[in-house]
Amino acid sequence: MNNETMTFPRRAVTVWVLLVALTISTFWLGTHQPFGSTDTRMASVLVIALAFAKVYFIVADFMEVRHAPRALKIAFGIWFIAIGGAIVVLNLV
Amino acid sequence: MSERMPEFLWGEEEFDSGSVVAERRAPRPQTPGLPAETGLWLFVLGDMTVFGWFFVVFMWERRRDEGLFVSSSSALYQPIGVVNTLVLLVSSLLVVLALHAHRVGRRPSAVRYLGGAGLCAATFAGLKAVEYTLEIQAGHTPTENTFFLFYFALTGIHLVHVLVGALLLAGWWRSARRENPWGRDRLFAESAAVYWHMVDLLWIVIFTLVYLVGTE
Repeated sequence: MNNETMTFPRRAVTVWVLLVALTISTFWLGTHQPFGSTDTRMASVLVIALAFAKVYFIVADFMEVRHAPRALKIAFGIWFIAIGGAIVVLNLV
Repeated sequence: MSERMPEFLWGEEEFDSGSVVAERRAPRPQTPGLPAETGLWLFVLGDMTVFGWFFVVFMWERRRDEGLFVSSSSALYQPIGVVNTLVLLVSSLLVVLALHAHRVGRRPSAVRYLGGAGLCAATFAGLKAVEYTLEIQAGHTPTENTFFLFYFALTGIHLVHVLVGALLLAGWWRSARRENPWGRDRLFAESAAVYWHMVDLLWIVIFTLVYLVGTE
């Protein structure tokens, strides 16, 4: 199918379905604590990791950085690693 | 196929406002396109970095007084928060669809999608107002403790971003109703879309850190 006649951006819609599924599972993880009260830290790290996975897809596919010049990808990559990394580390140690 | 779309659409467009005619005419088949413009991306990255620091400081403070943060975050309304997350996700999808429709020349569809995104923004702000009212009625104010200071500051600054984003969407909605060529609307439409997705992703992190992490 030609891009110009394509009725909807297929990849972005697929990503959106994934984001909704991740949102619901993160909410469940955050409020149900399936790992038991002894390992809330484990659940926290998982919840944070899933949130940053969602951020990644929004930047790559909704903001279309996936197709942007390299410099922009690197800039977002630095943000992602620095902020996401700092949050996970602060939650772990 | 869809992977190639942005290149196909932006590859031969000028990156800036088009003041340099020679550059506009130069084909750049191999250069990946940049939606919106450089200034907007610098602004978005700057804004995300400020929020990012806020998140890191929040986690730092949380580590110092985990008991207080855990008990305080349990006083938040997680269901309102998750509904608002879904509302913003729906709005983001509508913005993606609007941009696509606008690009391929289906303006009436773009206008409808943007109307829907505007409704989502209003819903988000309305639910936030309900949430603030409930918290304040329960005696939780920014002066109560560090957690609630962060809660009101982070969600409040984010709410301002929602309002700014809604204004940008409204401007785009107005331009989509006119019969301008896409080249004229492109910069504003893509900038508004990128800004709106930033509003969405910042909320995802705020919701996770403030409402979800380690609640009781």
